[in-house]
Amino acid sequence: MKNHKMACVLLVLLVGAMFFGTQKMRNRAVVAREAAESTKSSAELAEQDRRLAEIKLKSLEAKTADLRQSYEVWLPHFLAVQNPEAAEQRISELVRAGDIFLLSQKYEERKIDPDSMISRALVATLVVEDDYVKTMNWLGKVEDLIPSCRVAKCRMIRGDRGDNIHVELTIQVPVFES
Amino acid sequence: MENIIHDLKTERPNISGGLPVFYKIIPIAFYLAVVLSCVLCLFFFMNFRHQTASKEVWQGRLNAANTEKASLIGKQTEMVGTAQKADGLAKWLEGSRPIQPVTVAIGRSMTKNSTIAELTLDRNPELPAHTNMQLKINGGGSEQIETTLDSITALNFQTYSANQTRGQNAIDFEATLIWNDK
Repeated sequence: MKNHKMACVLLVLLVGAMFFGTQKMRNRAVVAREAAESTKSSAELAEQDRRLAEIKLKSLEAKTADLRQSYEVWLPHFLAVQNPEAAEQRISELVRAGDIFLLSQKYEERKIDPDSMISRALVATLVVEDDYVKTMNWLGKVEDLIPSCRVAKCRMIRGDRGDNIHVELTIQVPVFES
Repeated sequence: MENIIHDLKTERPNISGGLPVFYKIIPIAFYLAVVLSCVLCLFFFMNFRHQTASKEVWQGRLNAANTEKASLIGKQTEMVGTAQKADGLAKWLEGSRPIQPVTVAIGRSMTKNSTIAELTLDRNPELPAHTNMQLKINGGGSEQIETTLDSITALNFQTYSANQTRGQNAIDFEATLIWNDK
């Protein structure tokens, strides 16, 4: 009798162990389900954010298209002059090529606007006196061949000779640091 | 010989009585518990595997979405940076419109009796897109100024704050030129 009772107790213990094991397995399944649901909601949120970022990018792309296109077109002209020496050399070359009579020239590097993207520029102060047509063509060529330059001041008066013109020019050539 | 052995086996008293009724249920409950436990464990295990696989799938989508989002934000930042640079260049270029065509147009607008004594084009340092023009004309009159202004307008420049002073056979004209972006 005692042995039979012991066997029954053992069986009860085994039933208890099976219940415990099943419960443990259920808990693991529940935890896995919760983790999967949490990951799913995070993924859905991230996908929503991604879609939002995509829309923002497309909107930004459309909004800045013209600006970026003009940047690509103009950037090489600015990159052509990356230091004041290059700018000075460029202007000197144009003066020589134009065979223009130069009365005086002065080059200096100046800070234009520290907050702006173009903060420095080479300022060339040139005084030329030559034939009216030749001088005008030369001025046009300067503005054409250095498209990024800015003629800050231009004073024209009659020259000493009949067809001559006396021009005082202040040209700013931006020094672009990429 | 066999008979002899049987004969030696004596009658034994029943020393172990039967189990009470309650205890008889226990083995049955045990078998039921084994079957049920196996079924449930299998069910929970399958569920666990399914959820784990599902989690992996969603984790993959989460990682992909995060990577794509980071890439898109990077592109956005790059685009904003380019746009800011482009804006800086555009501002500079706005104040760098060629003035040679203006000087040539003014020169060509002079009629027979008029000559340019002096022409000054000076950009406003604060607003380089605004160019202050000072023109001294010998001879001519209001018609000459109108002809000159027409030739400037033909180049898409507009004149503001125009000021005209008449002297002896000479006119001093002053105005601000602004590019008309139409």
